[in-house]
Amino acid sequence: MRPVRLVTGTAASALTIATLGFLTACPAAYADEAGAQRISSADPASRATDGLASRATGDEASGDGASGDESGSGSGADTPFSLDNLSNLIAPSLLDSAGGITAPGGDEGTNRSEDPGRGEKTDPGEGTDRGEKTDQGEGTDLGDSSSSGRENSSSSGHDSSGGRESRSPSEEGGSGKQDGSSSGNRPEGPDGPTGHVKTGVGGSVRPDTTQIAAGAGVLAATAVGGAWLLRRRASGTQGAG
Amino acid sequence: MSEKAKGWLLVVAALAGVWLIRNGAGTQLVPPRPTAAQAFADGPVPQPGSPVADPLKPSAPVRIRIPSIRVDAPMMRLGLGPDGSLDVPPAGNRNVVGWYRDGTPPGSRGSAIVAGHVDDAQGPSVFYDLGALRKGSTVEVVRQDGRTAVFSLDAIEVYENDDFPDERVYGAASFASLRLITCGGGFSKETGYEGNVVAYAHLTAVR
Repeated sequence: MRPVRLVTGTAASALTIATLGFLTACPAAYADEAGAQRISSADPASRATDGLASRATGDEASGDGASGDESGSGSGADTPFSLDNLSNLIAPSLLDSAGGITAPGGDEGTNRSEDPGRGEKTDPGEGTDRGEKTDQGEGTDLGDSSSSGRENSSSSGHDSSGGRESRSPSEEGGSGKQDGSSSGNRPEGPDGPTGHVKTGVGGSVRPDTTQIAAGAGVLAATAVGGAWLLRRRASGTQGAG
Repeated sequence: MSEKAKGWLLVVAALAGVWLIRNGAGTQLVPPRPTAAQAFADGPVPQPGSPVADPLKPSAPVRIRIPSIRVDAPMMRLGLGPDGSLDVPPAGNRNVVGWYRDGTPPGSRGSAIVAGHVDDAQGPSVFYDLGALRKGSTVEVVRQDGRTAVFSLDAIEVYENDDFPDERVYGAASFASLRLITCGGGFSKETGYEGNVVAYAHLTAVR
């Protein structure tokens, strides 16, 4: 009985050691590399325009047709919750696009087919600015970007943010704009996440010398126990004989 | 206790020792890695032929389920770390998944970013098997509004940490997109995992 306890005791302590080994198996610190922050929103914006964009715009367009208000709530982007969020969210990416990337925005605008509404809403200065680009989609897009730019930087602040706010609840242009921001533009650059996540330490993969040592200890203990058992059996046989 | 029982005990102990050594060597515990066939053919868009549901109004997620890899975990909010990278759920809880709280909530239009640990110092965590997902795998997110957003996997890709495609992973989407991120790729003793596994999914149904 006692030797058995010895063996199990050894095994138990070995297991304890092994557990400790697991616990202390800390990973090396991760290199502190935040990937270069890419600010351009050209890619995401243009991506937004391919594939499903047309479907999305279809939705919005039809919603608008049915009733301005419904389209707003139906599209789901302009609940109070999202409004708050969105005003944060839009800013960076649109800022980016205001930073000179007009093409993708133009795509969005045309896709969304809200151009007529928008065209009149964007302020004249903006309109003419981009007039070189000629199509109304362009105009719309700039309305977009300038409006967000407004919220977050004074660079394009000349076109009254008040104007935008007042009209956004009133008709589809406003809701459409919010949709656009929620659909096309997620936090990017400075506000969105960048780089990889650090969601693993490799504790389950890294070779664990403590555990290996513990295993070796257990094996050694079993060897000793086995030898002892054999010896005892041998001597017992002897005694009986 | 009979001699025989003692013998068996020794055998069990020996097996335990072997298991410890083998486990310690870590040869058996490499998270599954997606094959190249699971990557997007062209761009992060829904798989052709897969239904695309209308996005929901924003509502915070409370739980995520991925039946094929037996994930069923509560969700928590994540911000950004000082280096601009997405925070991760706290260590110590192996069954919790986080979502980027300042971004799109899962099920709404845009790219919802979700991250979970692949493992911790004690072993596999909630997203350990993320790399075993395949195109078409189902992901369910229960939301605060009581609805369940059902997503279908479009692709799963692996990126090196040094060459992480921010715009592809965190970039915009015109539909309700979901991106599940965890560690993966190669592993080095010095720096840990050398990459991230990112699974892309889109909203196919709402319950």
